[in-house]
Amino acid sequence: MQIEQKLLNEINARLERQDANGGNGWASTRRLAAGAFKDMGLPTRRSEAYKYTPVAKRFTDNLSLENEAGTVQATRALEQLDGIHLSTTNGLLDSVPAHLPSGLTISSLVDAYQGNRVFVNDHLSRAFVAERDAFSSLAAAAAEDGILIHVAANTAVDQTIVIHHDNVSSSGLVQPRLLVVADKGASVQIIEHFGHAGASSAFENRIAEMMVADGGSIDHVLIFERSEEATFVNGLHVYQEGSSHYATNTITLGGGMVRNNLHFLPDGEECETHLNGLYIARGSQHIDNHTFVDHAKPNCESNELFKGIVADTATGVFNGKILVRQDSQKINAYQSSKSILLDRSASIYAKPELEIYADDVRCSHGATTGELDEDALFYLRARGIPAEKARLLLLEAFARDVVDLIKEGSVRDYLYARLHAILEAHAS
Amino acid sequence: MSENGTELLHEVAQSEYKYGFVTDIESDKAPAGLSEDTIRFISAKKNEPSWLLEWRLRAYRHFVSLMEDGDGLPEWAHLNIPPIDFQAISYYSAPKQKPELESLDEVDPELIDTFNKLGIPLAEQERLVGIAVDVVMDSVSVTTTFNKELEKNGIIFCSFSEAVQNHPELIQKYLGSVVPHTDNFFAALNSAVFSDGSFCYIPKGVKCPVELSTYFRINEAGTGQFERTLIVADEDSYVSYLEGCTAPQRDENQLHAAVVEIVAHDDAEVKYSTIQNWYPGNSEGVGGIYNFVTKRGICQGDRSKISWTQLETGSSITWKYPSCILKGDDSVGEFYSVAFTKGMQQADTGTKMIHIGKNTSSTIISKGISAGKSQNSYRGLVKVNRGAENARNFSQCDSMLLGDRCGAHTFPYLEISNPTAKVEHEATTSKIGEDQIFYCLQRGISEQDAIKLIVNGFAKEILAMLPMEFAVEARNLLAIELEGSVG
Repeated sequence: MQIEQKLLNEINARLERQDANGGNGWASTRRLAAGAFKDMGLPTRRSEAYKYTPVAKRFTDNLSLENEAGTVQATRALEQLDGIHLSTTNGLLDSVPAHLPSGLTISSLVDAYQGNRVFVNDHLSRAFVAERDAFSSLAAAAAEDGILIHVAANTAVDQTIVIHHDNVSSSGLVQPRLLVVADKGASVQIIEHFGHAGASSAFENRIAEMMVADGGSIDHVLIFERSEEATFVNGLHVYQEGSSHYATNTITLGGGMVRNNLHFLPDGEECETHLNGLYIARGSQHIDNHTFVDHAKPNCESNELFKGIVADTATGVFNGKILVRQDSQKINAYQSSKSILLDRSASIYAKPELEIYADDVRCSHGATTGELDEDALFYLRARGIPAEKARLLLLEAFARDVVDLIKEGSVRDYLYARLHAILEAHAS
Repeated sequence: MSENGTELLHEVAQSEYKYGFVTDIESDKAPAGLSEDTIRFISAKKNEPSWLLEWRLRAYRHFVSLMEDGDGLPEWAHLNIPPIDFQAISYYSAPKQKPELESLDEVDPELIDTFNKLGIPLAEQERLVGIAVDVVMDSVSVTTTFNKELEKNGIIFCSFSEAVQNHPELIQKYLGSVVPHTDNFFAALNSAVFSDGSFCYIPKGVKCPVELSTYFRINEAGTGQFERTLIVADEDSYVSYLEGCTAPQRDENQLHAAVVEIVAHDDAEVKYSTIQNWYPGNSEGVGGIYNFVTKRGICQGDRSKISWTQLETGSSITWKYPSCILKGDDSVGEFYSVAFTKGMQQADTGTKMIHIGKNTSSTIISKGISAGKSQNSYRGLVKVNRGAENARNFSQCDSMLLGDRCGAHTFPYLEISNPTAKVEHEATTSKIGEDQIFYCLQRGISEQDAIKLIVNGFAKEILAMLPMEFAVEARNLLAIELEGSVG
């Protein structure tokens, strides 16, 4: 395909330019990722993992790595939240906050690399497998800079880190890179918000790697609310060492074509992994959540809950895979996917998978698709609540199940309000 | 395993060679290879009408195009399929190379042992192992009485070749109507070279008085490799059809690619039960049957019902998805399956329920049991089309692992395009609970028996769906299969 070669040429040009300037950064892992992308190419509809999501179609021939510059002038959601606020434009950090608690480092990847090459080289491109994911490989190959959040050993960051991601490039592929490292016994809470303001037809393909060392903990929330023209491929790659805790909550309310690729590798014993998600697809939105939990070590637990509401002519896709490798005994892995179709022209494709190679495990998955519970509707109507309102109540309750799992109260409140607004707008 | 046991196994293994399946019989056999000439040869041998030859050739050309596209064998299944040389196979052989044995004394003692455990009568044992039955048992007359009973009801039940000659209008109307030759790789191959099979037609308003079974038809037994079954149930009719048998089937063909098509008209019901116990290969996974089967039924008429029940214990590779297209309003599809794998066996099996009509419902219950180094996968699709109002589906897939070197996998696909649909899927994977074993041991039940008991309990729901006498044999079969794989 032409576009793949075009992007590779641009990546190579960038790498050569960087070589010529003397600083080669983490060029070798970028070249590896470029090679992996070249071998894989963009997935077609015949690729099993993308059979329901033709995201490659959005790679039009004139797509380029060059981004337009600018700034977003708008009030940001979650601005009032108590915490450490960061903002990015086209995936790059606007500025480093002045006063950070001790043990917490936030910087651009380039700065981090200049400060401590060994650290960056040790942690970058470790959590993702280049050969597995063409989009993350492409992003890893292209991104010249990114963001590092590093929490030193035994540091508990008690303020929530809030990242406001802005995109001002309405043409061109934006490929942000994020690296979060929680050292031994460290804990941190991160909330990422992809707001509605900025370029409407943004195309973002991001790679985020999060690593939790022994006894560490990362609590992550992502809220995506870009416009209906936006395309988003979200490659999240989580690597966990023993006795660590990782939780993510991926809330997708916006975007025309969204693909969340969420990979988890609990690579130590006694790990706990929680992956939750909610999506509401309206209009002609296409939202796809692809999760993969790779239980490589015994005595771990994973919990997964994904819920979706699909309306109008939108499409919802869920693919959840749990892999228990040989000798990974005593794994408890639970997965549940629930979806509601609101309109006749909407579609849902779900594929919950279990691949189990160890016998002493407890694994289960459940998937349901249907309408609202008739009995519950009747119950509410019998109490004098009009049908419209009763439906809205039940839908909100359905969606709130996922939101309720978010720790930060003000984020929950923000999402409750958004859910109400979205669902009410659809009902009227 | 004890010294004696090992010796016995060794003996059994030896005995395969001793009696072999290489007895050279003068047979009408096409040279190995696959070409348009092979197809013309098969068609001419069977004295087929020209439309059928054309149909076969169309299928062959499609097969060739699939091979040329570089796709060939589909790769999506969770199977490790060794390359198959389609040119090394002889596609026509009549009669099949069957061992000519004089008496039961010459038969593999392991087989006899199994027969006894299954409780199969001596005379039938002889027939099953291929001893010239007419000497000991007048099976021909059994078949004849049976056929008379069917004829009286207007039921047509004959070999596919006979049906082509005697009922060409029915064959032409229904052949390929459920599984077109373009459906998949193996369906294309089967459509091109199918050797024989069964045809069954149940007329309007007739409830078939007996369980129809390939077992009753002597000529059926030798048509293994590329079999084609077509069952048509006309309005308001009922038939229960049974394929295979519990007895171990030894066959010289490595590759089996069968196609089964079922058509159910208004108010008709077809119950199709399978027990598959082909040779699974030895403990290293050498030999054994590759079983690539396309089975599909269409609930063409309103209020029709198709029900698949299967017990899969054999074959080294199983690739099989008995499916229902629920086209008629209020039609019902069911799939009940127990798949047991051990040794190096691989199974990727499940179903497809395609909801098209209004108020259709489907039930899927699948139980997978893996032991040894085997891989056992459930793969199923539930599709609710835009216009399928009030579709209901319930799926349950439970897997049990016996040992820590095997794998149990679940790959369900749910594609829903109608808001009134209610689709539920649940799956669990577990091993036999230590508390369950302990409970049995406490009551003086040996561990071996406890495992049998628990596995049988796990599969009971499904086995109960089989016709009664087969349910008993199926339970015994499962127990026998377990014997070699646990403890």
